[in-house]
Amino acid sequence: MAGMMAGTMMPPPQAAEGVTIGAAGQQMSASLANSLRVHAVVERLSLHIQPGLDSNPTEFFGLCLSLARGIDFAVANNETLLKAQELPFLLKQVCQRKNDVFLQAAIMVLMASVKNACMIGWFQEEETQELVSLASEIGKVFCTPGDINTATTNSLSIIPTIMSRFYPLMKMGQIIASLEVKPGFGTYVIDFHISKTTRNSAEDKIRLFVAQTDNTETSACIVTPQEVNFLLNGKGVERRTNVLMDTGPQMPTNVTGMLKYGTNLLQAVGQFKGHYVIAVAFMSMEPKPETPVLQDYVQHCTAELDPDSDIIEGPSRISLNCPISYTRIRTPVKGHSCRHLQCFDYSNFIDINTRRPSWRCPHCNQHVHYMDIRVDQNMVKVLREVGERCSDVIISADGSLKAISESDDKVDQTPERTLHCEKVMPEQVESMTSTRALPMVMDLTVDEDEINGVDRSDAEDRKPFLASLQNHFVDTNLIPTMPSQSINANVPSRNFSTLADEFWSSPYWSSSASDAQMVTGFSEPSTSTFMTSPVTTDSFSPALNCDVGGYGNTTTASVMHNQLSASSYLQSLQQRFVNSGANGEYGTLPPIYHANRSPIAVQALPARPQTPAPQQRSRTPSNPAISSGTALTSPLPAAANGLRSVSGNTDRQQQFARSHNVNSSSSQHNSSAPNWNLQDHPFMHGQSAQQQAGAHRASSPNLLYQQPLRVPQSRSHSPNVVRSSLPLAPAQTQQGVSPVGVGNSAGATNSQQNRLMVAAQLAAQRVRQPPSVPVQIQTSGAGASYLTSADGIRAPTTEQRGNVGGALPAVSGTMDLASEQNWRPTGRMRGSLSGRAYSAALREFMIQPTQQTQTPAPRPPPNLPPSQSSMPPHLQFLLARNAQSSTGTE
Amino acid sequence: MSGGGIARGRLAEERKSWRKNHPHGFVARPDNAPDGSLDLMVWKCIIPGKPGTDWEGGFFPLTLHFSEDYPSKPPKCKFPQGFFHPNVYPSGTVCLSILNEDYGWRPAITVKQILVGIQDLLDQPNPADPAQTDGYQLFVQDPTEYRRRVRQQSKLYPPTL
Repeated sequence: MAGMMAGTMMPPPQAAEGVTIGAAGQQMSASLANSLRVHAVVERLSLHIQPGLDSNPTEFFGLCLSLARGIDFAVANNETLLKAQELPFLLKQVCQRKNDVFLQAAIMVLMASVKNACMIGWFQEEETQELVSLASEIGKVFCTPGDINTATTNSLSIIPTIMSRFYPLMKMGQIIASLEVKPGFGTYVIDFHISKTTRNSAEDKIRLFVAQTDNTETSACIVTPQEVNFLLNGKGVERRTNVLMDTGPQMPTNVTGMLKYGTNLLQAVGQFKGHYVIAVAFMSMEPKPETPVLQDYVQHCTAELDPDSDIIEGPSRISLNCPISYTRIRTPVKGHSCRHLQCFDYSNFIDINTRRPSWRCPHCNQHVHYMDIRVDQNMVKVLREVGERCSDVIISADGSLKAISESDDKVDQTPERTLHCEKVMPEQVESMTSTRALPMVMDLTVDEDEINGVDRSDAEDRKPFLASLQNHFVDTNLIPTMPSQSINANVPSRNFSTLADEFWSSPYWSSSASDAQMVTGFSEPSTSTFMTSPVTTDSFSPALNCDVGGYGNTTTASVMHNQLSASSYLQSLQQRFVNSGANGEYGTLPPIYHANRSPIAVQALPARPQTPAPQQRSRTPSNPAISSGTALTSPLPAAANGLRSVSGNTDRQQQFARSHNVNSSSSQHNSSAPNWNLQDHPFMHGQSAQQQAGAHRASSPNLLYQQPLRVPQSRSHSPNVVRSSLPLAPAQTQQGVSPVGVGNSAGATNSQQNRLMVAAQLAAQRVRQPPSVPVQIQTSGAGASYLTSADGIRAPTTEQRGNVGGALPAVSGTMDLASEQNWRPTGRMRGSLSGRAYSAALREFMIQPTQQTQTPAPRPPPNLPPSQSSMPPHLQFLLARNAQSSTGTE
Repeated sequence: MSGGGIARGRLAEERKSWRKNHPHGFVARPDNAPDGSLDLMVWKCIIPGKPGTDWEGGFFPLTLHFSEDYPSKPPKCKFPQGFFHPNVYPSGTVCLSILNEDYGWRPAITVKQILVGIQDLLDQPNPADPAQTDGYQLFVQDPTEYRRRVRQQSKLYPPTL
């Protein structure tokens, strides 16, 4: 089987074998090589579709992916394959097997590529139509609503309206893909193709445009649907997922950096509370018009017109300064429905709404979109007439005005010296200080303004629930979530805070929101991690929820579920007490972890090219200090213990916690886990401490996120994982978590029922030894952690339940973290390894995952079948797609 | 982009205006950055408790954190962590409608108005919108103890000069 797989993955030169090369002796061009490879794949594939032949599904799967890749390559280069005319017949045959659950994903991948080939005219019209309809038929398997519109729809016509109202400086170019969404829960998937010739100019960015079409009068329509996650190529779109959800109106997200030439995939999953139009399109920013063409304001004179009115307008004092900048108005404007005399400055108004398109009058807060802006000619005149030093005027009802000059200018003339920066032009100030005030590492693929726009601290504080308050915390789970924001107070060891201070001397960062980041001890928050953060997985959660009645026992499934739980946990957190700490944490993960996380996004798929982390981690490859713990675990390097802890009275299937072998992930846990809890969970206050012995460790929630992330990677995303999972303790055990061997977490589980699922990965070299897993955990002192998460969305009854947290063994994963480890309580929860020894061992261990992830070959085939069948189709598709892309034609 | 310029330009104006005129007993000034210059994005403030209330005598330190989206977005206003007040999160963050982008915030609201608004809030908590359990429960269930705690806290923050 392995041999065959190798065959399907054959690199161009191999593929050329046995094929007559017309251009013998010539340097084989990439496209020729590709063509030859496709040819070989096609021949092989045609064997499979011969009737009577016992086709090996695994090989078939691989061939489909291979062919898709070949087509993608050619399409991206705007070429036509030599044998294009032979393809339709073959493809139709292939599609006849679309009902095979195992093959579905691969066929979908193939047909997505074929669809793009159709668009550039590879085939004759008749065949094109047939193929496209086949493709969309298969595509529907992967969406919940059957009525995905990929073509231009009516609602697209509303886009220009929205653009002109809320994004006046943006010009929308070609729309690459669009979706029309109806209210309700939905999973929308659309693939689109970006050809190398598509891009118009460097200024053009590809942006994700999302707007509600029900009411486009106010900026509420450009608020991203709050219960929907957007993913591009499996990665969460920043500020449009529940890891970091922007609750306000936003600009179309620049997603250029998330896309690639060839086939891309957009997913929108969740609860839509209205009709939406979603578009991926080229957009460019235009400069602000110097002399805007604006209509004149017409004063509403209600008081005068209505003699019965009780209100008589007296003289009003009006500032000539703009309420936005508090500097003098240059172009006095207001909304056409504003009734106040006060104006604001056109340019300032455009500026702030280009950053944050709230489109509200800064004075009265009324909705004022771009088309509503009116010039107040009266004020233009006033501004011209009164002197520069006049800051206010008093306008009487009869229209006469009296200027009031600035009262006290002396103060201005003797500013403190320290105030010098005020004298500098604002722009300069910004450039001088921005490095202090902003996250230092930016994803270059993201526009700076967008990064700046992220206010991580936004979601930080959530209200306690009255109900829970009134209950006097009978149930600790009801933690009102009054986070204590500063780590100092809550963290057992103070090292932490000092450490944090060192890293984050900037006041901005020392704000509560960023505490999480401090904890991680990394000085370089990377915004880009948002994209790869676990969010992705959430998006699937609903789908899983819907589609998979009972989750399979396969590891893959459990991984997904864990991720689900993470996500649902996130969701619940966010619904009620999310704090940005969590968000911030993700947002600021150092690149090193970033890599580890990316797999999540990929849904347990092969490593992606950009992952830098593995290499970095392995920089101390042969550390002699391999602890017994690691040694123990090494036979099962990637074994992840799926520990599902289920909250008793909720739908258990939806709540999982994952405990998994620390070896693979502890370093991560260490890094990011802590903060989260610190910030959000009151149990840190000790209110709920009694029930949560492990609370200090507090890191568990994070673990939740991390683990799912990690797991895929360490297992190298190989489908094998799926197979090896064994439900260790299928029965629900109450309080059972602690017995489950994760001694570390003893106190943490509460009354939740937990179920431990151990997944042992059986790769060729791996052994199935499930029972040893818990043992390992204990011996290694590494972290089994689990957490019970309340799933806000799916388990409404548990809404009040907070996260119980889990126990995270203190493990120091990386050198950077070594010192931070002190913050954790030591003692019984800690394993036999001391931190340093453990981290050394860990580093040693980390090599393995690295190597695995580096193996490029998509491995779906060998062990896929079981996993595939147990996964919902979307996931399969993603899996397959990523498998495809990982081998990379790009 | 220019938006960031707006934030700092506006804050410079706020500073200017504050220096010209501000309510008695209040302090508001940009924080010192590590290099000694002023960081306009973080302001250290002091809010005096209103005379005649249990808050009298307290001079409560408050930090305003402005974002680059200011004044589109309000600053985050924080008392010391664990500050006792029904509408202050355990983190110290003040929960007040005019400080919420989705509710009462308008770009026209000045630092002065924010500080005075928070001073008002001190003695007029909003039990419909609690942000911490401790303060809220006492306020609702045990007014005597609540007042005692408030007075106790006021003593914790004597005038700094």
